Amino acid sequence: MSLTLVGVLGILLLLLAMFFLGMPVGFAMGLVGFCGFWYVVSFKAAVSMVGNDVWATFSKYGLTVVPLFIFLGYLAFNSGIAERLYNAAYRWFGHWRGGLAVATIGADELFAAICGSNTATAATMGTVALPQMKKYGYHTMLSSGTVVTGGTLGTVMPPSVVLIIIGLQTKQSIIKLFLGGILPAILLGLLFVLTIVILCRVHPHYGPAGPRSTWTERFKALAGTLEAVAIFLLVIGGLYLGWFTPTEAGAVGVFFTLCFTVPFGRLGWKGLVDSVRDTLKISAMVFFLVTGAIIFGRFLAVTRLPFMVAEFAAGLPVSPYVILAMVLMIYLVGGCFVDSLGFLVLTIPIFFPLGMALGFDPVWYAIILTMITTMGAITPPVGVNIYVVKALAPEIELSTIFKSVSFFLLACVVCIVILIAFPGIVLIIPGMAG
Amino acid sequence: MAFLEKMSLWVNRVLLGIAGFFLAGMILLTCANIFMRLVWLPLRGTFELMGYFGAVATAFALGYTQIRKGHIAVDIVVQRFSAGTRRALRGVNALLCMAFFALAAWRIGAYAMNLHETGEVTETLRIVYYPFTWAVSVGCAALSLVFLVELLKSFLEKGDSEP
Amino acid sequence: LGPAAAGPIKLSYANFPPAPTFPCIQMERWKREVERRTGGKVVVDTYPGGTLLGAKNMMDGVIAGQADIGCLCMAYQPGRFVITNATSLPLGIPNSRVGSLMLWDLYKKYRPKAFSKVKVLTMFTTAPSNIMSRIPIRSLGDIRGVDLRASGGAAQILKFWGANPVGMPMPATPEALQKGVVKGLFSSLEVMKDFKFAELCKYATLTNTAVYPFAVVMNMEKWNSLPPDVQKVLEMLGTQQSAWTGTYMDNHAAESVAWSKKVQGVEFIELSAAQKAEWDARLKPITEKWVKETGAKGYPSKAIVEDILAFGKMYSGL
Ligand code: NA
Ligand code: NA
Repeated sequence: MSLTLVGVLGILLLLLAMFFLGMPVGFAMGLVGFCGFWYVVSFKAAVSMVGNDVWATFSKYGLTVVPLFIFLGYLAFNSGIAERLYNAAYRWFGHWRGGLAVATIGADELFAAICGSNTATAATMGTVALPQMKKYGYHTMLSSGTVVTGGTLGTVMPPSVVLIIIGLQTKQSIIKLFLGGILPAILLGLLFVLTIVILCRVHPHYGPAGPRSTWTERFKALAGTLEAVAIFLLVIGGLYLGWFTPTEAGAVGVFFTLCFTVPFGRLGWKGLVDSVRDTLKISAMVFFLVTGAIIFGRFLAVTRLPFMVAEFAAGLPVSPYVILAMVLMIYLVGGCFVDSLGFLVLTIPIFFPLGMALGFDPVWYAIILTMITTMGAITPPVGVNIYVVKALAPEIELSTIFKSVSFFLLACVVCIVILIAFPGIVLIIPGMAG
Repeated sequence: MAFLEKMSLWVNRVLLGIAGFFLAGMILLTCANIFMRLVWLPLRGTFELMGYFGAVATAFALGYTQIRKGHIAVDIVVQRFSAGTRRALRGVNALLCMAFFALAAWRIGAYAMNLHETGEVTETLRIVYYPFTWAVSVGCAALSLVFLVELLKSFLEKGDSEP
Repeated sequence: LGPAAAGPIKLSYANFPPAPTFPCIQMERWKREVERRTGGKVVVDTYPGGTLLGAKNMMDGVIAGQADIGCLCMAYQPGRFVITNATSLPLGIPNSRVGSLMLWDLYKKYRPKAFSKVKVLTMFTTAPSNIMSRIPIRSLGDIRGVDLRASGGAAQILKFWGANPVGMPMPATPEALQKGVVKGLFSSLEVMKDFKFAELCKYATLTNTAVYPFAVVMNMEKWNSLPPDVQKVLEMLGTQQSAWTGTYMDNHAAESVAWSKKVQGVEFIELSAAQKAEWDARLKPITEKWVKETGAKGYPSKAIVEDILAFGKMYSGL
């Protein structure tokens, strides 16, 4: 049997284990990678590889940034910092038609800037914003989609666990990726706002205008966001100015969030314990996802499949953009069935070398891949954010959420097309940093 | 069976508690290093210790995460099968994962022993680091235990208790 | 189980740094020589950039058969390769050619137990280490408390100069420099070009101390399965490969310095004779301490140091 065929069979086996056994994505990658390596090389070699790679990945300094940023996000949520951000956005925009939805997107942008995970962003805003929108008579056709999709900003706007993982897997500067995500995240947010405005124009009852806040209320609410702004400036500013490494920025962010909240009774013992437990849970999941991808990647390397795919596609007599469109389609379809982060980690060993062979800028390509995989988090039937929101508001029908989300998906597509047409939107800020 | 399940839950809760302390340790160590760098000299060995602390924190959380179904899985196809088929598939899954992590625990343990025997030390502090390697082995073993419980449950329990 | 081995003998050769760096250049040269000298009877598949094995699990991965051959930097695993790592003591090795041949002779003389489970194909060292940094280091005052990347014996040296050594494999260093985890590194100068460090480190302080020792090892079962004529070709290549790599490294380091000066505008800081004496004086206790501590563990530490000095002299043509 040719090695390429073994590689293809390995991928099929992986899909089989994931779909028919419901095996967690990271474990399936590790197990199939192990069996494949066993088949191609030897049992002794395969088992030694598993041991070495689990230890080497878990003890990697580069990955320590993951738990710290996840912890930062949970602390912000459990201590009410996120709620105050929403309140400020609401005071400023609530009196417009659809204003609460716009406020949710605005708060998402702000919260996304301190939180690294899109699920956490969706969960946070779902908890905070859904009851508010219900109170003011917003239709679930608008509110559910807003909350589900707004969470995707969390992955594109730095800091972002997805960008950290891409940076680690492709050996790129995490800071450059972070900087590259800022403008696309703002653009995406604007397109979401546009979607809301159009929806409310067509169906005015989706988002009735709320009461107008006084200027005093507005500025008082704005003052409540000071901690969030301070943490953001410290974390991202310190990173940008070279005061801290990403890991240090995460630790400093956590430290100051604790200083702002614990002494003032904003974060009790329960909030702290919940934050630690949820952080460890997500971190363990991410760590093994990365480990599984490394083990599976070693198997693919000995079959030489990724090199063949990259060579083949790069040699096709079509424009690189046609191949890019094909890759994006694969992500879009794949993202419908597999969790976005898992799918990304799984496919980077094949599609990243391909993008480089096609001559794309690595930062730009990473941001495009992030965008398209994040869409996976909101595409039915498998989209984490959808289920997070469904869990928070069980009374909303899944079909309603799906329909509501589809409006916003259109905005995501438009955003990606704009970024392909104008790569400068991604590259200008990292370029300025040199 | 009930005893085994209780034990697995207890073991993984204890490990999670220890993991929490290592997470706190990571934050303290990093902040202390920044502080010392500002006022005097950086703490030697922060880089390597952070990696090892991170390893313990995440490896000790592996089993608890599985108990709470925190490892992302795709159950879209599985959900369409009958309860009986589902139970059988869950059993196969648990068996494979149990074996895989038992193997991983064994290999990492052997690796730790090898580090011990060859006398390898860390690059900066020149201290032995095999205890951290052992901890990762223990984390994998605890995860394997969780799957053993899942395997037994799929045999012994009637009906479909999966959420 | 496994695909049948028909046709030529296939050997997988794993390496940890990216393809354009010197450990991989020597790997490709070795591959070409072996394929030519065995008349195509042996085919070598190379895996650069840690695709098959990473820096720290190279030795154990080769022992387990994850790769047939692996290239490792012994300095990354202090405590494990005691005898061969002695070559990174500050003993005044002038260049990579001398260092490589000296290390290979030292290995052949002592046959350390650390290598008993593998077949050693060759050994070589880098050129002497210098400081490359983002901030100028002109004196011992400047280096105090600065985070610099170094491994093994080189890390000890930094400690005695008052810097804060941070141990990590070379492939992890570009990211660490970019993220500010370290402010510079202590290594041979060819990395200025190979890892593009000249883009970040605009200063180099010429200290010319400590080499990093490397070994190329082969899985023992695989070695025993080779026909005698192939074994003979590989044996013959041992010393030649060591000398070739040393010479390549020396030329390449000089090239890298010229490129860093001309294209990247890197400032090369020379220490005055008085300063050099001061810097060297700080390192005196290192070798003494090593002889004492390693001797206490039962190694012939004194004889090892004497042999390193003697072999070094011999190959320097002194
Ligand atoms: Na974010
Ligand atoms: Na999806």
